[in-house]
Amino acid sequence: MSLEAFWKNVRGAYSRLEYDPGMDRPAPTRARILADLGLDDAWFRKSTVAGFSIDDFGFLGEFERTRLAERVEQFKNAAPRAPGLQPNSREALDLAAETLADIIEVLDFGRYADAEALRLGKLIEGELASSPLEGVAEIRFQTGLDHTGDAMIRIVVFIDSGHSQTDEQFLKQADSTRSIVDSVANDIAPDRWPYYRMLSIDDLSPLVGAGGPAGMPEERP
Amino acid sequence: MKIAESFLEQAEKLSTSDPRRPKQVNLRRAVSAAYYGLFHLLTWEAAMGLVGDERIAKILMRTYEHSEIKRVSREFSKGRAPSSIDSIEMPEELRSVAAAVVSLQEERHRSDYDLSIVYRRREVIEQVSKARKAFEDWKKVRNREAARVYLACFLLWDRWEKARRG
Repeated sequence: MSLEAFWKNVRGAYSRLEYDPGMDRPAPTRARILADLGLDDAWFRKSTVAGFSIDDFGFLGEFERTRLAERVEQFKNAAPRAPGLQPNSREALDLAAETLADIIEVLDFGRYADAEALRLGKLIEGELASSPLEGVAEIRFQTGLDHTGDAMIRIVVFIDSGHSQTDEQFLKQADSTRSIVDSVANDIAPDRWPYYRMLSIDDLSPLVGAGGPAGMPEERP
Repeated sequence: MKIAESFLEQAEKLSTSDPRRPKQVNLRRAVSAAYYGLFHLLTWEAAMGLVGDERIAKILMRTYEHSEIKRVSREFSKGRAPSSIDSIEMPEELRSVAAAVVSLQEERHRSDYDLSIVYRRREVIEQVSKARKAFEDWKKVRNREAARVYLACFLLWDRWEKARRG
C-alpha cells in the first residue's frame, strides 16, 4: 500500500466534501467535517484508513506524524470488522468521528488536493518556514498533468488583506512571493512545472449577489 | 508586430474593464489575449528572422506549434539551450520570457476550456502583467545570441538534439 492508497481511502470516506477545481473555496472547518460525518456512518469501517504506513509520512514533523499514527490506530480499533451487521452506538460513532476528523485535518483536503500535493506541499512549506513569507495568508497545492501532459504542481497563493488593498500592492506582493516560492518549488519538485494562481485572501469569501465587494465574480459559469 | 501589442492592450483593457463585478467572459478573454500577444510577438520575430519578408513571415507564422514552443521554452527557462550548442550566455530576461510563455500558455488553455474555474480580477491582472513584463524583457534581449537561438529552436530543437546524438 502507499500514501496515495491511504489518502484515497480517507478522501473516499469523506465523500461529502466537493472537489474544488480552482482550489479557491474556504477549507472545511472541524465543525463542518464533524457535521458531514454526522450525516451517515458509511465511513465507519476499517477500510477507511487502510493503506496507512507511518513510513510514508516522513515529510511531516515528528509530532504530527506520531499523532496521525495514533489516530489511525484508534480508528482501526474502534471500527467494526464487518460493518452493517449491527447498529453502531451514537457514542461509538461520535468518538470515531472525532478521531477521523483529526486524520482529515492532517490530510487537509482543502489545501492539498491529492496525495502527492500533500507530500510536496508539506516539504515546500517546511522549507519556507525557515524564513516565513510576509504578506501570505495561505498556500494550497495540487499536482497532476498540464494541458500537454507534462507533470505539474499548481500552487495557489493567497495574499493577505493587508497586502492587497490596491492592485499595485497586490501585484508587488504576488511578484515577490512567487519568486521566493518558485525557487523552493524548483528545488523540491524539479520535474514538475510550477503553475501559480495568485489570489487575495478576500477571494475566499463566499460568493455574494449584486452589490458584493469589489472584484467578486459576477457569475458562476 | 502591431497585432501582438494590440492583443496585449486588449488583455489589459478586458482585465480592468469592470472592476466591481468583472464578467467571467472578459477575464477569460484577457488571459487568452495575453498569451496570444506574446505568442505572436515571438513567432513574428522568429519568422521574420528566417525570411525577412513580412508577407511570407505571416504565412510562415502559421507553422509554429504551441506545444513545441512550450517544450523549448521550458528548457530555456531553466537556462538550457540545445546541448549541441556550446557555451551560450543565457540572459535572465530571456529565461523570464520563456517561463512566461509556459505559464501563460497553460493559463490560456484553462481559461478557454475549463469552465469550472471562477477567475478573479486580480489574478487576471497578474497574468496580464506577466505578459507585459515578458514584452519588456524581450525588447532587452531580442538581439542577443541566445534569443536568436531560442527563436530558431521553435522549429529546430528536435533536429539539433538529433544531431548531437549523431
